[in-house]
Amino acid sequence: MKHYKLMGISGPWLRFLSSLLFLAAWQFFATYSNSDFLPSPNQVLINFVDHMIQGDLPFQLGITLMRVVVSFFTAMAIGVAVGLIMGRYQRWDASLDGVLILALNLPALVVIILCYIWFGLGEFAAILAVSINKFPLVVVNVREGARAVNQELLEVGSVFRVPSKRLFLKIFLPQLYPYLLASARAGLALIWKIVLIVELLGRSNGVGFKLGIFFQFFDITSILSYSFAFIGIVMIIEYLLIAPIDRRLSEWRK
Amino acid sequence: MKSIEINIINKTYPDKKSGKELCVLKDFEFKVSRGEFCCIMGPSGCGKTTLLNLASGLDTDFAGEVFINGKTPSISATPGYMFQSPRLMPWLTVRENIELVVLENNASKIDALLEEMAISDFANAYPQNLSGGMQRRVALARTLINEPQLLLLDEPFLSLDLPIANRLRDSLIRAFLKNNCAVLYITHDLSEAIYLADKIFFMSSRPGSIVLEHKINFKRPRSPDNNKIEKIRMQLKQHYPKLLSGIMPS
Repeated sequence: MKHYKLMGISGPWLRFLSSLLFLAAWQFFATYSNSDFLPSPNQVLINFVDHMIQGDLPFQLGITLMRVVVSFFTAMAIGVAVGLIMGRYQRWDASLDGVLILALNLPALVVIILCYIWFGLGEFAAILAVSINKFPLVVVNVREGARAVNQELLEVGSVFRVPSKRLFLKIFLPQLYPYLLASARAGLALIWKIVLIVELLGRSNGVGFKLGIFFQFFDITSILSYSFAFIGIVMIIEYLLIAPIDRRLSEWRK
Repeated sequence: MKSIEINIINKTYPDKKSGKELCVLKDFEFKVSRGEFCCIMGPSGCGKTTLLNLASGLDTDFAGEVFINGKTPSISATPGYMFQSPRLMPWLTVRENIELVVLENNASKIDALLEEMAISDFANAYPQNLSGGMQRRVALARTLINEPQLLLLDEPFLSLDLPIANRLRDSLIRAFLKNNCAVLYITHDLSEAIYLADKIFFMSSRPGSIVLEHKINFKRPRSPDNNKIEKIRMQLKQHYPKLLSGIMPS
């Protein structure tokens, strides 16, 4: 990441200050409106701690996180495989392109409802619905990457008789990394939002299910504390997992 | 058995603009023995690079026969091919780029080769941090690491400054003499060809065929500034004034 400065303030401080500014603005409007519909950051924090210690927030977060992880890897695995085939073989691309456009434009809600009707209100239907929503986007990204693979570099591998496993790992795959990372980042952000809807509509646990209940009681404080808890988890995944992988893979660009 | 036997009836490419087939090589025949350094010269677009692609097994779509040590190129022993551009993997370090192609029993030779190419200090650098000349040295090291029986080089030292080019030519000659391999070396520079080659093949313009096979009678070691190079060059020019345009006097 580049080191930038604004009015002599360095990057990390800028980030801290802008977060502080956001909280201050939130606090101001909450105090000013003095309404149950907009709890203050302080109230949300107390509510969060309360749910963490006495409630079942950790359990619900865990359940939702598990669904996110399983759907994420399912969607990535299928999406990468189909994307590679479509990017490398024109015939497959031509045959599957229509289905892909259909899949891309299928509303998330329709997929969820149909999965629940066809496969029952179970875990399988839930995960399937989320994966179906995400995988066309992975296909589009990876297909673009597979098309952009440098033929001349592949020829090097072929002339020097590089064994196919090494050729795939050292020549082909590194060219796909930027596309895979972009898919993973966008995927994570999209998938957890869809998981919440799936849980709201047809599961009896998870963050989405709880949000539905809080909605019925107009418990906005709990809705916010649950949401921020999950946003926190996604940010942790980004900073502790995806960003370090990205740094490691793009080391050579420096 | 010859090291390289090439007999192309014709080799065509589809022309993207007109949709017609474009004939690149026609009635092209030559043989190269082991221990022979052959330079190939000819006008631009006459099919020189195509020829190397056929000999390396990269291109198998042609009418005719290509044999490397009696086998078709794709199943013959791994050649050393130095492309016109270095074609290094930007995400691999210098050492990793060579390790990528190395056969198991040659892995211990990497250090010595890096030393010879004077790139030891850059073994852990990424190609984009190297100059063009350095990148070509890495590409040459990659070409030579497996001590191939067949060396294919496509204008490898183009646009390098003279001292570096001469140094790399010497490294190449040393490897050639040591391995006693067959070499196909494409160049546009007649003096370079005379300095390096045992034999020069001159090609016609497209569709390429061989118009002259000329033996260089000049004992090794040669020096790049030896007068004899200039003498041979002048003789060739006098005998065949339009040879480099691919035209022979009838």
